[in-house]
Amino acid sequence: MALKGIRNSQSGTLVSGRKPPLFIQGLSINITLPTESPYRGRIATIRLDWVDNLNQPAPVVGFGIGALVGNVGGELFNFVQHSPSSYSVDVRFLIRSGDWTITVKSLAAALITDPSIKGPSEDTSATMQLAGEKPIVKIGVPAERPITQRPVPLTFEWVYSDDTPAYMENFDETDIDTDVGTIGNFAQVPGDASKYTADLTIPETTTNTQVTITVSANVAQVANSDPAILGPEADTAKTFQIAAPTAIAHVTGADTVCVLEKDIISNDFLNEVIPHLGDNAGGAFTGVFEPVSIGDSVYMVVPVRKFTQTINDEGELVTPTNPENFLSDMQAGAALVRVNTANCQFELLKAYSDITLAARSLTVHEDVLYFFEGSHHMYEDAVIFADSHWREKVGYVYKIEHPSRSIEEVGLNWRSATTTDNPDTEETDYFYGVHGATTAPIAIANEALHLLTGFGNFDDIGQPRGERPVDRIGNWNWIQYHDQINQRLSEVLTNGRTGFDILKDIAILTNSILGFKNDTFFLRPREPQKAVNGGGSGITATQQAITAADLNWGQFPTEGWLSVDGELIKHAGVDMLGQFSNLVRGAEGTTAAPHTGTFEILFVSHILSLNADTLEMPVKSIVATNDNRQLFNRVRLRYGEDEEVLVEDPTSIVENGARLLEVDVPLDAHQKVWAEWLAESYLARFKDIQQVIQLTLKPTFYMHVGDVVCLNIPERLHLHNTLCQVLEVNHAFRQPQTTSVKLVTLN
Amino acid sequence: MPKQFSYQGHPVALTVKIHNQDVTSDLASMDDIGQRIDYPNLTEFRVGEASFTLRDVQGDFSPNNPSNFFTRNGGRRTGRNSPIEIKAGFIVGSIRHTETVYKGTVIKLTQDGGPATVKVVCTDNFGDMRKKTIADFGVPRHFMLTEALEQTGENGAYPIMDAIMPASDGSVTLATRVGEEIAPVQKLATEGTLDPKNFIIDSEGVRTEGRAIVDRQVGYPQLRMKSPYRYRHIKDVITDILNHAGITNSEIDIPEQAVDPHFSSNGRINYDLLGTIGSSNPITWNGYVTDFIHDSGTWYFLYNGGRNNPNGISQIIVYDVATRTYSQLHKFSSATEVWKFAKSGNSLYILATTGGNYDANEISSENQILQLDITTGTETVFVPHTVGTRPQLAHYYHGVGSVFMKPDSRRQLIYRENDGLYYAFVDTANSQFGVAKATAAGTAPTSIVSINQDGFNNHGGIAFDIKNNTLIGGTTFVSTGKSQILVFKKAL
Repeated sequence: MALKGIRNSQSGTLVSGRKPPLFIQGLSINITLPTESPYRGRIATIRLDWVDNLNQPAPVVGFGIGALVGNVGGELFNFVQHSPSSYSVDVRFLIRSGDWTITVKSLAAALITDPSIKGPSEDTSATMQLAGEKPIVKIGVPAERPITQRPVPLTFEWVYSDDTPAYMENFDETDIDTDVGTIGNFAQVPGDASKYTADLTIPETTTNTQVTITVSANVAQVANSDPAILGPEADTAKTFQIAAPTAIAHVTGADTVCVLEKDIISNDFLNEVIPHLGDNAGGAFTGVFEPVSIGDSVYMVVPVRKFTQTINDEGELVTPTNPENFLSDMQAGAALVRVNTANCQFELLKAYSDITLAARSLTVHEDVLYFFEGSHHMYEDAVIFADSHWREKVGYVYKIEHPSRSIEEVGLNWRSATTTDNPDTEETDYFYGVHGATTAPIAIANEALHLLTGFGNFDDIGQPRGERPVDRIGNWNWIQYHDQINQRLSEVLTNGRTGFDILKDIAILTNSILGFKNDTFFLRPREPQKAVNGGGSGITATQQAITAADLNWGQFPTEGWLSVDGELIKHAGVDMLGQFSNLVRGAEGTTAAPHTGTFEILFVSHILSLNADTLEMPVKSIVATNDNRQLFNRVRLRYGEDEEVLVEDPTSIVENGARLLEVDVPLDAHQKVWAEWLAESYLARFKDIQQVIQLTLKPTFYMHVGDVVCLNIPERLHLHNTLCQVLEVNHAFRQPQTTSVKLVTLN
Repeated sequence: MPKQFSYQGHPVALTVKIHNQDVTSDLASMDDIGQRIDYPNLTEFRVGEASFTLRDVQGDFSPNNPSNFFTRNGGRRTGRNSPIEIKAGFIVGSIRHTETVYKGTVIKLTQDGGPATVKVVCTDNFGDMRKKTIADFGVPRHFMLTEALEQTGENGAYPIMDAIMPASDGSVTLATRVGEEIAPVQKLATEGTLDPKNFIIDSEGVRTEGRAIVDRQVGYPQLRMKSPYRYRHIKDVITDILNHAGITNSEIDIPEQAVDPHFSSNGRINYDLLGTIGSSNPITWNGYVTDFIHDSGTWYFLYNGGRNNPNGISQIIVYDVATRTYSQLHKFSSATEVWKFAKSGNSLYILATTGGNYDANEISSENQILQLDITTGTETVFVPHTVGTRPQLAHYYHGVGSVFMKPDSRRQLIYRENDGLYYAFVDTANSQFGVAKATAAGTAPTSIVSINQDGFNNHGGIAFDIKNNTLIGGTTFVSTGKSQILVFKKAL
């Protein structure tokens, strides 16, 4: 029985000392404290029961937490009505020792049945003796199960029962026990004596096992507690499973490291690179090829292969006993990756279903990345490609103009072994594309991209005869990508041929004329010598100097005339800078005129200027003929095995009807660009009807074939400073001594 | 010739020289001399023949005179091939102004006893070139023949790879011993006494009469022949043809022509050298270029003798851009595979192996870096395979049978000027791999960036680039459940 107003030293419950009345005359409250004394808990629940003077439960109204007063050191909260006569309140102690008193204010409630009856008649209190709470320790390990991390990081967090921190002292490494490995690196979290860390080092030989970490009872003391409060109250242990350690890449010596991490199983990167492996496939990055940097970015090729592990029903990784050959069964792909090392941003630029089709020989020139695709692995025996259309995809050079991520096609190296040479490309004419990689480096020099490449399987190089495609001459070529004709003959066959045959072939291929002038062999373009004015700023009508540039061939002539827009300008040679000076403007009766902008300069060797007064001298006869024989407005140029180029001039065809010039040239099937240039050159020369002019002159020994002659014969022939080229010269020494000249007008 | 000396009523002047001796005073008449471009037929230029008649009362030009003009001047009695020069011009004020209108050689002499004259018929320098087929022309080859053992015919058979065929007419000789030079016959006999030293050469190779050659010295039979030029620049072809004809003066203007960007071929590296290096070896295509460098007008080609081929001959071939010629700079010892190289000054640094095992993870790997002085040809081991940081060439494709990745990455060897040679390494003893720097032969390389190897799961697959004093590299890392790409950067 509780007595009102008297401290129950055991329970702290106050009880009344009065005798109970026969009727309800008063209202009092019983305060019931926790039985534990001294109390060590952090939070205590205090019961509050209203009784009448008959000591019966007395339902009350108006009772609330506001009628309760707790001493300093305890916070009241969680006021609960269990019934109209029974209540409870919780107290959270802020102090760990000493007495703490709770008081119910007088007249805090009224009887429901007779609200005039209020109680308690005076403040009613109860006092607890506090002795301090023992903290507990929480041992923390990584959430991963089994734990693969090494060393295993441990945490120790001291708290009271309500999870508030318990600041400790005298807690050290020796207070922690482990049944596996050793504890080390023990340390308090700076500024927080409730938290501690340590490492559990597991021997390398230990892989899968159970580990228990124990903190024995009462090994540490609550900071500043007096008397000392020790904890934990009982031995505290943490048991967990560990597995083989997870390796971590440790890069030593680098300033920065960027990491792209993917799950081996079902990672998005893998699925993009080798989607044919299916949703359940796993994959891993396997090495890095050809990293090349542009600024802060680095481009590289990362092989991605099907990992040899799969997942079982329990979600565990399983390693198959018979890994598949990545080359023969489409088990690997690759990725062209760009990494910005400034912000560690990884970009997948291109994914390859087969590693053998991936980008190779990454090369940078002026912030442009060049590469090609393909590998010699393609010719490994029994290679099966995931991409059945692989042949159509190899043979290209690509570029990326940094920082764009757009991959642009530079060109397809169609210059290849012939299809008969390479049975594996029966339908195609690919070249390096079917064999590259190791032996296909790229370099850029002299404004050209160079690469060394071929086809075939170098494991099968046979000797002594070239029975396999790889042995053929077309193999392992030095290829270049450039914008000029590579003036090389793929083959110079001489048996049964004369030297002149060879030279004539070359002259045809270069649209040149050849011959001997005195004892010096010459070969020069059929086209007359031309240049343009340097700078393109034009000249006035009186300007006596012109700087010439872009001479189309040879050296500047040492004397003669410049023909500019109908004006003949006499010159006597050029200086080292290409400047003609002391010019005689408006020569040979032409009119000196300003020439603006960039103008063409044609170099004239000779002037034949006649009029009615001089017609008989030195010209003995003149015959001019429209030479329809040399009109060709359609040129078919055949080369290689059965290749041809056909070009035509529609305007000339409309005006003159079609005339076909057919030419066979000793170019091979891969010299198409050369053939096209040559056909266009011939078309330009022959597409218009020219006049052939035959003159019989008095002996004229300075005239040579190929020279440019300005013909000014206004009388009868209406040739007004007409430019011609000398086709024939014949000197007759018997009487009458003459020189016959055959000219053709130039366009 | 200046125009002012053109015909203006001045008499024509002619000068004829034979063997540079003026015979104009003996000139009776001169026939026409012409030059012509056949037009519009494409490019047939002719100087053609010239002829003139000399008065020869004394028979000084007679081919029947053993001490005639020609023989006295170092020529043949027939006058054949004696040099002729004809100049023409005008006599102006008693001064002869002439220029050469013809140069050539004598073809034949025709005597006419009636008027006592000799007609000299000449051809220009094209004469022989027009008429004579080319012989003994092309790329020289000298190699040992290998008998085709599977051959079952009656004749001996020695195949020759068709890549160097056909042999130039007149270029082929066979030797079964030192000093011997046997020319081929037109046809092999099938009866009577058969001699295997009678041989023919055709597209199949060499066949010897009746049987294979057995009476030979070690290293024989050897063949000398000339192969067609291939991928030769047209300027060089012209020069070759002219030189072959004994013509040394030429003016060749073949301008480069700009066209749309396209691929073209410079031909196969080493074609010009193949078969001239080591005459005792069979001719072979073994080998391919694994790396190349352009520096100051010279290309350096690293020519690998063949993968896992103990008989391969690895070389460094240089190509002079100015002269468009190849030459062999260096030949490595047999079984040395060369894969990548870098250049600094007069040194080439070559990533090579002699063990045929490209993965420095493997204990049997003999990857090493050689230093070659290109001026002396001295080859030294710059980084031996015995160092802790062993050069890595290609990594083992972990867990996939026995397949090696080929040495596909060229970014495993970079020379940084005034610093050192950076290379990819594997340090198996310390389970590390990374990028190391070597500065001198005999000095232990230092690790610059290293990564823990983790039991080969990362395969030592590492490569790097150096630009702007920054090393950037990459590798991958595989651990349980995770795969990583790691890109590292280091300021140098």
